[in-house]
This record gives sequence, C-alpha cells and structure tokens, in this order.
Amino acid sequence: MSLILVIFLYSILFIRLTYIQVFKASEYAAEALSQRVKPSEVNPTRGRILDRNGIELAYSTSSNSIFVRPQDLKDPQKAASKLAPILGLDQKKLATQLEPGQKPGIIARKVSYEQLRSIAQQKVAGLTILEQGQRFYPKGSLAGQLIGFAGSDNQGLEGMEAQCDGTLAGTAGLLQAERDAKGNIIPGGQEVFTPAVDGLDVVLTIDENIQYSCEKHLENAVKEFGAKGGFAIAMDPITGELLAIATYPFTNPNDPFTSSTKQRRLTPITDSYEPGSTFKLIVAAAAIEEGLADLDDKFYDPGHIKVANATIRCWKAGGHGEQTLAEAMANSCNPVFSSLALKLGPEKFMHYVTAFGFGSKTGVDFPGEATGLLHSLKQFRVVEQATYAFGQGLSVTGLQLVSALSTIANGGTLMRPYLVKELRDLSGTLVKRTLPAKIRKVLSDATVAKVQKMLHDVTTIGSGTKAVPAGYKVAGKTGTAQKPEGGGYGDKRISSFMGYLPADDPKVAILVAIDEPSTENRYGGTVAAPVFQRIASDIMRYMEVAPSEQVKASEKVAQLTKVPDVIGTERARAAALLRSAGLVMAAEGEGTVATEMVPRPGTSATKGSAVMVYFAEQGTKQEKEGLESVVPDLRGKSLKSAAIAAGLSGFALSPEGSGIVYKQSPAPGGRYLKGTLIAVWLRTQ
Amino acid sequence: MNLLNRKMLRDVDMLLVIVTAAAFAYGCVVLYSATYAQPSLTSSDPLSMVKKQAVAGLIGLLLAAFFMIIGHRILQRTHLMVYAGSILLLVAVTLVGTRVRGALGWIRVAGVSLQPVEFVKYGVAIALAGQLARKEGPLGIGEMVVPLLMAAVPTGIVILQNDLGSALVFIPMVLAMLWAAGADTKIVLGLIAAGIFVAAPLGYFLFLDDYQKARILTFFNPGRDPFGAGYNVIQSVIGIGSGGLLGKGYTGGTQVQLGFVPEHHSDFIFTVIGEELGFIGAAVALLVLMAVIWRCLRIGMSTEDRFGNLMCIGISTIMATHVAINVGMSMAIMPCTGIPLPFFSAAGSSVMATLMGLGMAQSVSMRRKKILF
Repeated sequence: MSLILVIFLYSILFIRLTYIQVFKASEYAAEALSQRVKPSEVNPTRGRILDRNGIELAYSTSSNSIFVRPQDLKDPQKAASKLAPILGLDQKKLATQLEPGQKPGIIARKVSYEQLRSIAQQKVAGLTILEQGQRFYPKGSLAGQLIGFAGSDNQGLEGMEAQCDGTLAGTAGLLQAERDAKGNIIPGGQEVFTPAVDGLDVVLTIDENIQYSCEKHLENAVKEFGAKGGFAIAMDPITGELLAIATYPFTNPNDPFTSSTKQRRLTPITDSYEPGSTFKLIVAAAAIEEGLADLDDKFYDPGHIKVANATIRCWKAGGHGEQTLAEAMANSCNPVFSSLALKLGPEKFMHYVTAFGFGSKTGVDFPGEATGLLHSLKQFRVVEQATYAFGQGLSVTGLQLVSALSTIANGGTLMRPYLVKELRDLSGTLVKRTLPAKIRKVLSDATVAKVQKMLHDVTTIGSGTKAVPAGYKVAGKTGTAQKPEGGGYGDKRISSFMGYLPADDPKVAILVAIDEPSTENRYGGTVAAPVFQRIASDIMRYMEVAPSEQVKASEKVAQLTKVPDVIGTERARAAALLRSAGLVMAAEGEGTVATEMVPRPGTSATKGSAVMVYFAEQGTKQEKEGLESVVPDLRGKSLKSAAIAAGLSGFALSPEGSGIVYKQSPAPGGRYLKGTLIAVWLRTQ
Repeated sequence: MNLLNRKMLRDVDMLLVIVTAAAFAYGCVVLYSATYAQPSLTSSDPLSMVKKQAVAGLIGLLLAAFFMIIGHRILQRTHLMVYAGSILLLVAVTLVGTRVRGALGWIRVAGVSLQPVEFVKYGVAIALAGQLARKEGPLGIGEMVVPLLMAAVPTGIVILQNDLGSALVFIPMVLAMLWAAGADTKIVLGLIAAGIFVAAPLGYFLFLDDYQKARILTFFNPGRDPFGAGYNVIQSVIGIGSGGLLGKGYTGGTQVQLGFVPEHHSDFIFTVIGEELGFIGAAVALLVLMAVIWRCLRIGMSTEDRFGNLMCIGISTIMATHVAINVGMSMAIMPCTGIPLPFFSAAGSSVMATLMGLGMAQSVSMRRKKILF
C-alpha cells in the first residue's frame, strides 16, 4: 500500500525524466553542444599599401578600445567622473551611456597606453579592454587623398583603402572551440580552426619621391601665388602608370576628419573643370589627322572672329596677325583654333574629343572618378564648337587631360591610367601584376610627330618657356582657363601647364594646375609652368635621365646650389644658413634642434627650392650625417611615436604586440646602418 | 534501566538502513564529481566538499542513534517543548541569521554554517504528531484548527525569511498528517483547493517580492527570461536532456562541469546525475530515495502507536516533498526554489536532519510492538 502510494506520487517525476532524457535527448544534446562550441572570428591582418619601391604608405597596428557592460558598474556617476577626464569625454554624456539600462558597447577607441594605465589605477569594474587593428600612415599627409583611410574595423572608407578594400582586408578566420560558461577555451577540447587569410599588400604605381616633389612644389606655388589650391599629376605616358597625384590642401589620413569632405577629394580624378587652352592640342591633332591643316599652313588672326552672334577674342589685343599653325599653338591663339574647329564640323570634332577619352571615365582604379561634361551632338552648335577649341564650355578631369597628353607622348595610343601596380602576399610573393592596357589608337604616327613638334615649339618659342628644366627638351601646352561663375565667366582663373619630357623619349607626363592664383600675372605660362619646371627637374634627376643638351656652366651655377648642413643647429640658425644658400626652409616637428633634413647636406638643389628640416621632439639624440645613425631609445614610447623617432633617425621599425615599447633590438645608443630594422616589442601594462 | 534490548535491535528496519546508506554513498560519489574540479568550492583539496558531507553524515548518524536509543515516546511527551524550541530557533535565525541568495536561513555556530530550518521541519512534524495523537478516531473540523495554526506559524516565518521552498514543505506535511489522523478526505481536498485558489494568489500579490514573483512567473515560462531567473532551469533541463539514456560518463558532464549550470553542487545536483549518469543513473537515484521514503512510510503504517504512525508520515512527507520539489525544479516542472535533494545536495544540515528524522522513524520500528513481560 505505502509502496504503491510512493510510486504513484513519483510517477510524474519519472514521466518527465523519460520525456527529457529519452524522447528529447538528441535535441538537448545538440543545444548543449551549441552552447559550449561557440564560433569566434579571427581577425585577419590588413595588407599594407606600398609605393612602387616598397616604401610603406599604410600599415596596420593594434589599438585598444574600452568596452563597458553598464550592468556591471556599481556607480555609473562615479565611474563617469573617473573615466571622462582620462578619456577626454563629456562627463554627463558618458554618465548617461553608463546607466544600467544601456546596451554594452565601446565608449572609447584608440586609447593610448598611458590612458589605459591611468584607467587601471581607477579600479572601475565592468570595463574590458579590446584590442583592435588600427591603421597607421607613416608618411603623414603624403598622398593623403590618394591613399584614403580605413576605419578601425578594418574597412577601407576612402581612396585606395576603399578601392582595394577586398584585397587589403583579407578573410576572417573562424575558431570553433569548446568553451566553458565564461567563454574560456577548454584545454584539450574539440577545436576546429580556420585560420584568417591575411590581406594582400597593394603596391601602387605611385613613387614616394615623385609624389613628395609634386606636393612640395605645389604647396610652395599655391602659397606663393596666394591661390585657393591646386593639383599635380605625373604619369608614365608609355604605360599609363600614375607616378604621383597631389592635391593641395593636403589631408592627413591618420586624422582624416580634421579635413573637410571636399578637402579629402582627389580632385584631378574626382572633380572636373574647364581645361582652357591645354585643350587646343586636341583640335590641332584632329585637324592634322583629317588633313585640314598642317604645321606650316598660314593663318591670319585679326584678334577676333565672329561665330553666330558671338565674338571670340584672342587674348592678345589686336591679334597675332599672320602665323603658322605651330606658331598659333605656341601663341595659344584662340581665333585660329576656333576656325579650325568649325572647319572640322561637329561630328568629326566630337569624334576626336571622345576618342581622346573625354566625356567618359578613364577606367582608373580609384573610387568616384568623374566623367566630365560634354554637349550631346545635337546641342553641339557652332558656338560650342568654337569655344571647345580653346577649352571652354566643356569640363574634363585632370586625369583625362594627362591621359590625352600621354597619347601624344607615346605615339598616338590612349592608355588606361592605373594606380595598382602589383598585389603581393605577406611573404612578398607576387600575386598579381597589372599590365598596361591600351584603350585605342587615336592618331596616326605622322600626325603624332607633327603634334609633338608643335608642343615642343610651345616650350621653346611660345607661352611655355618657363616650363623647361635646364638641359631637357619639353613638349607641352599652357592653359589659363576662366572659371565659370554665375552663368558667365568672371575674374577667376585656373592656370595650368601640361607637358612631357624628354620630348624625344618621354619618361613622364605632368599636369600642374593652380586654382585661382591671386597675382596679376596668372597665365599658365607664368604660374604653372615654373612649378612644372621644378617638378620635372626633380623627376629627371631622380630618374637619372641625362640632359640632352649641354647646360651652360654659368646657367647651371645660377640654378643649382649646394645644400648646407644645418643638422644640429637651432631653428633661426638653420633658416639663416639655408637662406644664405638661396634655399627656403620647410620646418617640421616641435623640437628646437634640427635632427634630419631632405635633401641631405652636400647634395645639389635648385635655388629657391625648399629643404625639409625636421626638428624632432626632445629626447631624440642628435644624429650625425652619413650612412650610419645612432639608435634612439624607443622604450616607453607608443608605437606611433616610436615609428616617428625611428624614422627620423633613418631606421625602420618592426613592431610586435601592442601597447608601449618595453624592449628593443638593437639597444639604444649603438651605431647602425640607416635603414636597419629595429625590432620592438610592445605590451600593455 | 534497559533502554535497548535484543528484540528492539532485531526490529531495526534493515532495509531502511541499507537504502539510506546506499543513498548517502551515491550522494557522495555524485558530489565528488560535482565539486572535485571546482576550485572555488574545494580550494586545494578536491575531496573537501565530500569530506564535509561525510562529517555531516557522521553527526547525523550519532543523532539517529541517540533518538533510536532514547526512543520516540519522549518526543511525544515533550512535543510542545519541541514545538516551542523550533519556533524559537526560527526566530533566532530571523534575528542573527545570514542571507544566502536572497533567503535568510543560515546561522553560524562555532564556525559552522547551519540551516536550522532543516531541523525545524522535523520538529514541527513531531509537534503535529503529538497534537494529533491526543485523541483517537476521526478528526472533526474544529480539531483541525490547532494543528493548522501550528503549521501556519513556521510557514509564515520562513516565508518572511524568503525561504519559499521550505514553506512549500510544511504544507503537504500538515495536510498528509491531518488526513492520516482521520480528517475527512473532502475537507483535506477542500483545503488544498483553498490553498491553490485563495491563499496562493493572495500571498503572491501581498507578500512576495518582485524577484520571487519573477521566479514564479519564470517557473510557468522559463523562456521568459532566459538569461536571468529562468537561466538556471533552462540550463538544468539541457544538462539532463543532453545526458540521454546512459549519460556522458562520470565526471564527464559538459554542461555541469563547464559552469553552464549554476549551483550544480547544491540545488541542481540532480542535473549532475542526469547529465553524467543518464536516465539509468537518475532513475536509480530516484528509486533509492523512493525506497527510503517507502520504508519510512511503511514503518508508520505498520505500527499500532498513533504518535509513531503520524510522526513517520510527517517524516516521509518531508523527504518526499524535498525530492519532488528539487527534482521537479531541475526538470522545470516545479517552481525554482532552493531546497536540497536529501543525501545528494551539498548541504550538511539537510544530511544531519534527514538522518535524525530517519533515526526517529527507526525508533518507531524498534518499538512497534507492545512489549510483553
């Protein structure tokens, strides 16, 4: 009786036990497995961005973020009052973020080691330090708009970082491991590990040295002429490789949001403008190709022509009178080219405009390329034809112009411009190489030769003489475009010069445009041509292209000067030394004593050019010139400041870990060859 | 004076001794698995929790032997003192006790934490048996008032102490004892119905704290709060269910060993059995505990002594309720209230009190026949 009673009472427990353990066992077993085998992502390392010589323009380091679970905080107000001053956050805002009902999340990113240490001393519960990849751009603002930048979650947001994001980012790996309830991996448990595939290194066609030269001379010119901005492009006319694209004002990708969205645009690719007289070479080439004109054909410029109801004037009051086509190009005479355009007729003229690549994207591997604006054939009336002839009424990008110029330089073939030269994996093995791509043959060889001669004349007898570096032959064209304002044209100009050199064996095609120079004399030939000359001169020297003509000794002396040694001197003294040598000092850094300079002392530099002098912050040892350098003490520095200190002394850095440097090899104080890799080990705490 | 004689020793229920020993041994084996790899519980000695349990077992054995020797009649004579002592003990806990997981129920005596309520349950059973044994024959409604009030006082106190689980033990005990004492079945059923439909909702809205309400709501729907109050129960069911028929092997329970099931050494020890030893192991544990209850109940049924009869029914109801609530909670068919599974949960007071209660039952067995000289 009692036994039956007990069994009856417990039958419910047995039924339930049977149901759970027998009928639903496999279901619960699966659930148990899913609870302890949780997949977690393994972050890949983002690939680097390198220049064509392998110089690092962007690489990834790790950075720390602070993650908070508000429900774990005892006193949000107190926690906020402790954290806000250290992290530089608004205390009230932080306090609301930390209230118990709030979602867990990251309250601060890119937290320095010093900040972490102060936070640790505050002993606030409920904080977790997350390590995340941080992008670092060791060259600062160099090619800032071109490189773009990546967000802290390994995502390229602008520029090449965005363009090549898929390649750079790599593929996240997966770690499926048995974990306990706290998330710790159980030693000896089941593990399935799919390693992350690291991103590839992107090798650009950009050359750091050419880029630097373009930026330096561009900046100086913009400042000198009180201009709004400007850009410069250098392209290999044979292959279409872009060697440099500089836009001023610059952007520092380490701190991208201090620049406006507009300032972060790589204007020669993303923005279009009215090209002005540089466009004349298209008309000339078309007319010669069509047999409508030849170099020695005579034209008469009365100073203006009438087209429909409009009068087109030459920039020279009274006109150039009688001149050959080549002379008209050299003089940049508007009426001659307008009449040539009318002779071509709308279909043929438009055919050549589009054949040179205008009105469509060049196909460059950069995000957000602009197309420019052309009239449809229907709207392409005589006035438009006449104004197109000297680059008004249409808009083009700088890249389209330099591509068109390269077509002349390379013998008549339009090449696709490109920025990604190679993709390499971590070990440096080549994964993919971009091959030059021909778009179309635009002109016959005979026409090209004639246009080349005409463009050479521009720099010898015409408007572009100031563009020629001593000893080299340059072919090019000036441009002084009026900026359209409120439906008409106002007083503002874009002064430009584009050309290639050496004229008989082109190595580089360059376009320089200065936006709104404020000087009285703002013709392309007086504003942009000298900038072109400086850049071209740097590039020829850098590429070791021998001058084709003997430069007169006196001319050479007048132009070149020996760079004095200012290392170790104070600011004022350094500036005075450089001034007496005919050079300008461009100072960088906060220190008092010059620690490094570019170009190096003893080398030759063009008079009037700038010398970069670095004033490293205190603590960096004075460094002697030569091939060797003293290893700086990097211990206790953050990765960024260590990289800067090593860089100033001429060393490269090989970091391991994150946080601050606690160990380095070789040790500080030793003398080593410049370029030696200093291994540093970092740790938090 | 001869407290014990050969006949009394012969009438010790050997089967009860055997199943009790088996339950205790089984409990220690399971407890070892639950605690050996948990340094937060055992610090450096993996056996430390089992050793504590064994010490409690030894003291419980001495208590049982004490009551077997002195006999239960002395309890009948002093049942009012026992009752007064029990109530005083509960009041003392209210005054000087410490809270564990929201429930006030622990008292420290000479460096050892004790849970007096475990002893009080048996004290109240003795008191009720004594009260009901005053008169033979059927129980009128009026005669039920005093025993109900006697049970209501400790129930009320433990509710105020937030020990819902222990409160739930007193109710079936008093009802079972009233019924056994001859109360009308209809009245007992009526009391149960009144308890469910009147007292429970009233209590829910008047006396319970939010977290207790949450626990009860979570009982009806564990998915309501899978990371809060319902978490333990959901994890427990997953643990037991994933054990399947044969279990994952001794010390091989992934859910319990890896910390997915909280309190798996105390309130949720049944989950360890279910996950590691499977349906077979869980069924054996339930059968052993049922055997203990059955023997205890059988002693009560087969004695001619009314006090002994009622006391044994009280004792076996206490145990049965503990098993039902604890195992039922582990399988999500009972409210989530923390009361120990006798002999299995790491709970020294429970082990001592249970052994003491079984010793009293043995005393009834030993003295079940009138001694004829």
